[in-house]
Order: sequence, then structure tokens, then C-alpha cells
Amino acid sequence: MKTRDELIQDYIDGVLRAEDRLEFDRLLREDMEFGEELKLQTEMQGILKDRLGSKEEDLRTTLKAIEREIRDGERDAKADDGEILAEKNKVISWKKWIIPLVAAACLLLIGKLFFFPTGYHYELPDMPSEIVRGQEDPELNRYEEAVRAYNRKDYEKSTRILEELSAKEPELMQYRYFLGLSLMGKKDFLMAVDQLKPIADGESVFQQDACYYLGVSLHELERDTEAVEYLEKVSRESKHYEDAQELLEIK
Amino acid sequence: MHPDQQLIQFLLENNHAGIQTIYKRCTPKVVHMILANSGSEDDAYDIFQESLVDVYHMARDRGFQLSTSIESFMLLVSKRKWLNVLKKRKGLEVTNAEESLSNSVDDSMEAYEAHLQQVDKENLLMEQLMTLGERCQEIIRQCMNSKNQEKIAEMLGVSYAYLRKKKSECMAKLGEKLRNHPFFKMNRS
Repeated sequence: MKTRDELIQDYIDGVLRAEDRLEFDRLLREDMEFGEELKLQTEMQGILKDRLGSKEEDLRTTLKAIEREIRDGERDAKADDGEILAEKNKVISWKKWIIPLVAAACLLLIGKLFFFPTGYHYELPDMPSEIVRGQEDPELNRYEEAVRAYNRKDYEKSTRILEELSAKEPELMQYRYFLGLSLMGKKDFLMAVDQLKPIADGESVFQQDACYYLGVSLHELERDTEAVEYLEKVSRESKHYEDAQELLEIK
Repeated sequence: MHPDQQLIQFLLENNHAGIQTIYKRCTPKVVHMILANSGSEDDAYDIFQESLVDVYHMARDRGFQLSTSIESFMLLVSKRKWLNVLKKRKGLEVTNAEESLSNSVDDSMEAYEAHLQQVDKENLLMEQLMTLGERCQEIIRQCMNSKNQEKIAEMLGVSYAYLRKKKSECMAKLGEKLRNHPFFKMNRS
């Protein structure tokens, strides 16, 4: 028997079965809370469809670009007005500090190269299992093998399996996305870019995550201009927004 | 219709040059207002950006009509947003300066209030969506963007029955978060 929540969602999506209709009508008639929940869920679904189908992200990209242009322009105008003069004077007074500063910078650079060779630390996310009780599907079993290999960082094996799965189902973005991450795990960033770029340029649920990991891979390949392009596409709503901003600041 | 309605259309069309005009005309006043009310220039640009996104949703979804100049309107929307930030920062303890800011917002906003409240409600729902687990977010996003749920189930590597069950669980969880939010309780019609 279906739960109240399932009946509500089936009704909203227009897939309520005839045998469930009686129970749905009864609840609607006799239970005021059920009616209120139905009203709320219908309203929520309307808003979500509307918002998730909007082009808010494209607009945000434009807004960020315009803000940068305007604020850079203001800064340049202030510099032209002579405010830069004060800055120049400060530079002169700093001259006596230049030698110790350069020495300190060299030490920092050596330390950074020694301890953090790439300059940016990123973490690959876990690969989620898709096990559903009672489901016997050879492809799903193979996928689960990849999940286990990937999560124990055996990226050679997870890459092999995901390549095989992705060849069978090229349209399934989930295989391709985790194949990209597996390749990153193997430090094969060139191949990772090949897998992640179509996802980052597409519209799947992995699009935002792919933009971030593609940005990281491009950064590792020292293709910084392209990296910036994708990191800037990571929206404020994405869980990788802060990470992307951090990497953008390093550049 | 106010002649500046054309600028709202530029926002809807994501027209770079048109939006640049909005920025050039409106940001000096917004920056001035926020600097005068305990904020920084960065705060001002952040608030202005969020206000433009709100106006985009208002105009896209409800045939919004501008009845004042774009400068006055954007200043009002930004004031309202900034006031909310100040309230959050100070735990609802509003100072005299903020109170006068609040009063000036209340008087001028009447004509737009219904639109703005609707956008607040929508923003709250989107915020709550981001607090759900990743899997729930993914299922909801997919289900809202496509009618073919069999295909979604296939894409996510799960059965159709499992997808339906998870969708109802995730939407119920989202509904519960919304109902328990103070803003929702305060504004429930």
C-alpha cells in the first residue's frame, strides 16, 4: 500500500493508479492535513519547476562579468585621477624592505614547492552506491564493483570498469562523470578533461560538479585560461562554489 | 507602462549591454545607501546582484510591470534586501538608523510588495532544497526538469518504483523543512 506522500506525488505527477484513487479521495475528504499537504506540495512543485527551468545561472554569469568590468573601470578612473600617486609614494617607502621581503618570498616559494607541489589541494567525492534491494542487474553489479574500487582509491580498476560501462551506455552521464573523476584519481588529467568537458558544457545534473573538476584538471595541466572559464561557471548554489572561488583566487 | 520597462526586458533576455546600463544607472545610489548603513562596497554589489536576480524572477514569472524609474525601483529592492541582511547580522536587533531605513522601504514598496513576498517565498524554498542530501537534490532536480521519469530512473541507475518512492520521501522532507521555517510560519496565508 502506498504512503500518503506517495499518493500526493502520484496525483501531482498524474500517475495515480485507479486502485489508489479511492484511498486518495477518502483522505482528501476526511483529513484536513492531507489536503493542506497536497496544496503545499503542488505549490512547491510549481515553484521548483519554474526556478530549476530558468536561466538564472546564465544571468548570474553575465552579472558577475558586468560587475567586474564596472568596478575595474572605476578603479582605473581613480588611478587616472591621481589617487595612484599616493600608492607610488608608498612603494618608495617600501624600498628599504625589499631585500628581506624577497628573501622571505623565496623561502615561502621553496616551502610551497616542497610541501604542496601543485599549489592547490582538491578532494575527489565518494562514488555513491546504487544498490536497490531485490534488483538483479549484471550492469548494476559491474557498476557496484567500480564503486568499491573507486572508493578505496583503486582508480586503475575503477577506470577500467567505468570505461567499459561508458562504452556500452555513452549517454549515461553518471558513468562518464565518475570515469572523469577516476582518471583524475590516476592523475591522467588530459583524459579526465576529455570526459568532463562534454558534461560541463551540457545540462545534466552533473554539470556544475563537472565544471569544478574540469577547472581543477585544466589547472593541473596549466591551461589556466580555460580553467578560469569553467571555474567561473560554478554557481553560488553549487557545493563547489567556495572551492572554485578559492582556486580562482590562486590564479 | 514606464519607459524603463525596456530595461527589465534586457534583464529577461540576458542582454549584456542592456544590463550594463542598469548597473551604470543604479549602482551609485545603491552603493551610497549601503555605505551609509554599515555596509561595504562589496556588500553593495552583492546585494545589487541578488536584487537583480529577484527582479528577473518577478518579471519572468508574473508579467511584472515597472511603475517607477529603474533607479528608484532597484534602490527600493536593494534597501529591502540589505535590511534583511542587517537584521540577520544583528539577530533582529534593529538600530535607529535601520528603523528609518525600514520605514522608508515600507512606504514606497506597497505597490510591489506582493511580488517581492512571492520571490522571498521562492528563495526560501530554493535555500531549503540546498540543505537536503545530495541524492535528494539530484532526484528532485531531475524530476522537475523532465516528464519522462522512466528515463530519469534509467539515467540514475535505479528502478522506476524506487525513483517514485525516493521522490515522494525527498519532497516530503523538503515540505517539512519549509513548514518549520520561521519565515514560512510568519507568512503562511
